[in-house]
Amino acid sequence: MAYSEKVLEHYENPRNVGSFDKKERDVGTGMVGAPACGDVMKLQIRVGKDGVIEDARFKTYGCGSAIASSSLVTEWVKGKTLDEAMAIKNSQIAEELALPPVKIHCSILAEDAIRAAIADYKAKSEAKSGAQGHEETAEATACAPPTGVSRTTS
Amino acid sequence: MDRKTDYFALFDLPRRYALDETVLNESWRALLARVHPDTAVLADATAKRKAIEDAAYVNEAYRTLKDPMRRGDYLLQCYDEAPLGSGDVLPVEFLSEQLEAREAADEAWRAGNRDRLESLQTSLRAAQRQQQGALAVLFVEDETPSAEALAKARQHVLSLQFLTRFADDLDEKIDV
Repeated sequence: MAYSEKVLEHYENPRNVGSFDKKERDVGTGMVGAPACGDVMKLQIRVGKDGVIEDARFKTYGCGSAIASSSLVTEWVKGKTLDEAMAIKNSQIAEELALPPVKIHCSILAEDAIRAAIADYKAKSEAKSGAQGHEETAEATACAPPTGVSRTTS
Repeated sequence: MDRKTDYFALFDLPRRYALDETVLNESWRALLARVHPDTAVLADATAKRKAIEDAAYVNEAYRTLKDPMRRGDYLLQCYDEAPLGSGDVLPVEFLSEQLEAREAADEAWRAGNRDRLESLQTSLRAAQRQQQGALAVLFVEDETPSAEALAKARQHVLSLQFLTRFADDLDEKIDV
C-alpha cells in the first residue's frame, strides 16, 4: 500500500524525535500501544508556567503512519494550551496525512498519546500543588502570627 | 457438520488454554478426511459446496486453537467478552519495557549485532511463555472464569498479541 506524500515526508524527516526526563515537573508523558500491530508510542510535552505547551518529543516504534501521526502531533501541540491540545481529533490527523481507512488506528493512537501526556502532566501538577498546600499549612502553623496581630484575609 | 460447534468440542479437546497438540493434530486429520471436498466429488453441487465450507471451518478452527495468541482470544470470546479493540489499554510499565526492548533491537540491528538480536528474541520468547502460563492458570477445564479472571486474561492476551508482533519483526531482522 502506498503512503501519502505527507506520511513519507514525516517518516523521512520526523520532527521532535527524542525524550524529556519524565521525572521533571513540567513534563507530561503519554505512553500508548496497539496490541494488534505491536506499535508503541511515547509522546511527551513540556508545559510552561502559563499552561502553554512549549515543546514536545516523541518516540514511536511502528509503521510509517504511526510515526507520521506522532511527528505531526508534536508539531501541532506546540504553542497550544492544554485544553486546545485536548481538542485535537484523530480525524484531523488522518485528514492532514491522508491516511487510508486501514491506518486510521494510527491516528487514534496519536490522539490517545497526547491525551495521556496531558493527563499525566495534570496529575503531576495536582500532586505538586497538593504538596505545596500541605507545606503552606505547615508553615502557617510554624509561623503563626503572635496573638494580638490580626491579618486581613479579604 | 454443525458449524456452530465450539472449536474445542469439534476436536474432542477440553475447553481450556493448555493444549494437547497431539490430540488436536490427530482430530484435525480425522475430521478433514471425513469432510474433504474430494470425497464429495461424485455427489451433487450442494453436497460439494457443503464439503468445501466444512473443510474451511475445520481449518479455521485448527489454526485458531494451534496459535497461542488466537487460542487465548477465542477463549475470551467463548465467555462473552467484548472483542479486543482500540479501547483496550496496556499497562504503562509493560509499554515502557517494550519501548526499551524495541530501541535495543533497533540499535543491534543497525550495528549488525546478530547475537544481541538473538538474545532479545530469547527474552521475548520467555515473555510470551510467561503470558501463556498465566492464561493456562486462568482458563482451566470445566470452569467458567470469574469476571476478575477474565479481565486478567484479557490483559494477558493483549500482551501476548503485542509480544508476538514484536517477535515477528525481530525474526525478520534476524533473517536479513
